[in-house]
Amino acid sequence: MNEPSSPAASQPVAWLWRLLGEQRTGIVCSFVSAALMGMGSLIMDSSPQLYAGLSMDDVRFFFQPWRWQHAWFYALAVSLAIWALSALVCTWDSLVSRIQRRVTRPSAYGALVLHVTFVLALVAHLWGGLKASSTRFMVTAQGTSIDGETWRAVGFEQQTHSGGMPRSVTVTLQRSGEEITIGYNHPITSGAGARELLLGQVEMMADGLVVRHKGRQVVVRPDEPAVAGGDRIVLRRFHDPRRTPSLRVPVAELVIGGQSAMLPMDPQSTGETSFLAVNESPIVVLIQRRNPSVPLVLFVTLLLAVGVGLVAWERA
Amino acid sequence: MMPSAPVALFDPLYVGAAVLYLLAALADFAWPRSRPLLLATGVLLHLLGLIARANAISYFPLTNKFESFYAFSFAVFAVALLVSNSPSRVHRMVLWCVGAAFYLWTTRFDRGAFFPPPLMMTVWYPLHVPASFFAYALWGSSAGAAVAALLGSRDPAVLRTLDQHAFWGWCVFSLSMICGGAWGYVAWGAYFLWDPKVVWSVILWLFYSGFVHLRHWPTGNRAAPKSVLAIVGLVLMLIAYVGTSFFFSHGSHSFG
Repeated sequence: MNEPSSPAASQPVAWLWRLLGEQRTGIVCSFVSAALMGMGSLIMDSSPQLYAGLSMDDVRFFFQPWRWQHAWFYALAVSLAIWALSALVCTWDSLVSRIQRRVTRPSAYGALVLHVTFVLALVAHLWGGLKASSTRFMVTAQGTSIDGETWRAVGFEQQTHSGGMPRSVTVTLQRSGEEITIGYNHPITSGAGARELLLGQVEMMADGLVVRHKGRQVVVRPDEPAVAGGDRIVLRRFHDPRRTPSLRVPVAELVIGGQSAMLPMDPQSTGETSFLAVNESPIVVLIQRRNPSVPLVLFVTLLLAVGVGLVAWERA
Repeated sequence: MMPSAPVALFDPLYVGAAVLYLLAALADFAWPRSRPLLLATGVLLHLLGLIARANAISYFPLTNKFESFYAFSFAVFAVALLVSNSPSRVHRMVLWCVGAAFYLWTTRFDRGAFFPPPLMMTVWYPLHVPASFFAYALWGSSAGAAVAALLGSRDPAVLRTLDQHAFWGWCVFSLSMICGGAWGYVAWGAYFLWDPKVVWSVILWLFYSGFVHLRHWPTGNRAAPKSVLAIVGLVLMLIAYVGTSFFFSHGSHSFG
């Protein structure tokens, strides 16, 4: 059973509730927050060394360690917190008043939706800023382990505009035998967006030779012997004509069926074993982002769109 | 540097729109009735110029500073056309001056049409940037009405525009933020970055979120403080749009 609170105790609470429920509290907080963020932006820009470690949407940076130069951020956090409380109190008061007046027009609730959206957006930013992480991986044709699974880069396709500027870059990756494509603006997501793999960079790198042996075409890589025509072919090393002037073209030293063989890297070469081309495969830098707040942000985004639509409808 | 794509008919459209905008400003003083028609024709040529550039690169023409300012001035003149019947010449001319300043500024840059890099090739880009520009233009109109109010205009239509364009600017900008956040997520893995342009966009959103509530606060809802704040909003918008590209260290929004 609730005991009635004493007038002395309820007075400050009532005063605080009244203060937070006043429009001017939220308005003042909005201008103060904008001013603090502006100040912070100027400080960040004028002290690039101090903020060199700040990246993406991180907020942990401001507490590791606490610094007086980050005072703008701490004040911003307080200002936004008061604004969020004020938005919640205003929303509650407005909701009670609308229900009592039996307002059924959906557009009348647009502002309330926006206030709740604003508070949820702040929570999502804080959550993401404290918990999000980024990791970089280099994935090759040979395979790289990401979270216990082996990923291989197996294909690379680039389309260009007529001026030569790349139009789209698509990389085909293989994960446990399943092929997945990734590109700029086309990340791989899972967990309702909480886990995301982004394409960082992609380069083609020579990783072996394409040779024909006894009529069979195979790719021979330094760590990956091939079998053709019943012979095991091992790539041992390359001989560069710049270091060995007696050579006219680069030469690959192979071991074919246990016998050493020198293969000129000349596409015109003929014989039982002939060189066809240098094999290239993609080397891909992937960025793995983990941000547990993304599903909430998706919800906030939806609410924001609905809220804006409702207030626009109300005003129109 | 990548070669630029040839843009058919762009120069006559570019010069033609400039001449019509100039005539529209003169008409405001000499032949007020012809002003909307001149302005509308200028906006049409401007739009055709944008279409010509889009056609040349097969994409939304917003790939460098020239195109950014060219598209922004289009948004400003389109809003100026919308407020053609504003009872305050100061309001009309402030907005015209903002549009003309950016149009004139385009002459400082290479007019070449360049193909967009892969990171710009997303549906979010042509939604995010034009929405921002129209929001900026609406806030410019609000600030124009504020200047008119501060110079003595007490016409209710001007004060209403001050309010309404700030509000509609906020609505459009909110949608732009949604699209920008979605783009940030698919391109960089975060809907918010400590990047000058993103930070100043949030500043604008926070500021105008407060501004649109002023009508619920009697002290703040008077013409004078509201007008001053609308002009502060214009300054913040210019910092967010121009300042972060020219005067801040490079961030993810650096281009051109």
